[in-house]
Amino acid sequence: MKPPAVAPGRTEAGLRIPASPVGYQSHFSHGLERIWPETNCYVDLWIETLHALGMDPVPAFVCALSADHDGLQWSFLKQQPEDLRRLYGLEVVEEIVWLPLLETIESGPSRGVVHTVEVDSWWLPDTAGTAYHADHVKTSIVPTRVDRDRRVMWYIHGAGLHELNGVDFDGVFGLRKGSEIVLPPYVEQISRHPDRVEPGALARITREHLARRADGNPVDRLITGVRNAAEWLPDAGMELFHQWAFATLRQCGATAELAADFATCVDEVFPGAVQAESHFRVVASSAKSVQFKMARVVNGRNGDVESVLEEMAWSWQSGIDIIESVAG
Amino acid sequence: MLAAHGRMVVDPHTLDSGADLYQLGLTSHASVNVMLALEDAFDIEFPDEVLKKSTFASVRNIEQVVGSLTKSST
Repeated sequence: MKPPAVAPGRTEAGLRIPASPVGYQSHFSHGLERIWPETNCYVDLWIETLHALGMDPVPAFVCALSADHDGLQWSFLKQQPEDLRRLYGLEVVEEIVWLPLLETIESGPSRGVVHTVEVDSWWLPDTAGTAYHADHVKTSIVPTRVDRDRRVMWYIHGAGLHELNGVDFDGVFGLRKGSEIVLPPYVEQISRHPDRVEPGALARITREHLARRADGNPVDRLITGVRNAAEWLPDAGMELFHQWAFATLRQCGATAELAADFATCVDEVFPGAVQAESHFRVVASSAKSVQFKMARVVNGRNGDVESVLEEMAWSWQSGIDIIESVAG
Repeated sequence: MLAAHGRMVVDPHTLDSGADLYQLGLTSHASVNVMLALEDAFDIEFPDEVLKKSTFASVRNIEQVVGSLTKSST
């Protein structure tokens, strides 16, 4: 079916992402030289969405300052909707998916919105080597261009802007026998409201994240989890190890690397913040080292990580203390 | 080893030794599996200072690290 006509309703500037996959340059935080080139699907998606919109994604890394470890896992970091509104004038709300998914996405341009969509990585060619046509993995994309006649879609995912077509187009929209969408996916709509950008928001948002962060040092709680894992990992197998490592060490390490970027960015409003950068980068590289070492535990080998863990905890606290002291 | 554990989009046997493996699809996840497989196959243990992303960034880097570890253990 063709999408129903959309009545004009918005007076603000419509949102479009005009970038093409050909020659697209990813944001520096997804560069190959990074310790953790990817964080999680949602953070990565917003980094490239903001970048493709010509906006600087780094101020939104402020969410790293209130990240926590809850005893089981590190925070699934997300750029906060209120931060996106105050920093960029972007509103993010859940879409009511009452039309088929393809029609929902096709309605975006005439409504002046773009969508984030939960899809199955099975159909995403940029995941070749991991999930593409091999594994069913939930992830989020931002379609930037959909052509149902040519069965082509451009989409932001992970560290870049990509194209899918043919059977993958049919599959991702549930148009193919065997790929029918049983439950409507979680879809958000993003709209642009320049008048909602809050002048001077970065300083206030920084203080707010610091004020609402959990008591104590989250890396200390992560360390307790790592020590506990040394007990159960030998019986867990590599698949569970990788899931555990994603939820703990990777999220912590990637959060710290984003916090390092943020420290350099917020130095403009809080001079001296840049001194936190090196501490956060130590956390990021240490988390990588611990991940390698803990993998050995699954194989029943030496997984001594104590010296690295102590440095991680000290470095995180040092980085946070510096930001807090200059932010006042 | 890379072919068995790297889950890359290209055949590692055809690569230039300096090619960036991460650019060719080696993930953080897969690099951990490659490290374990190398340690098992060569009966070595990567020291702390090489347990970092760059160690697995190219065939040349891997060869250099494994070569130095096997030499020192003989």
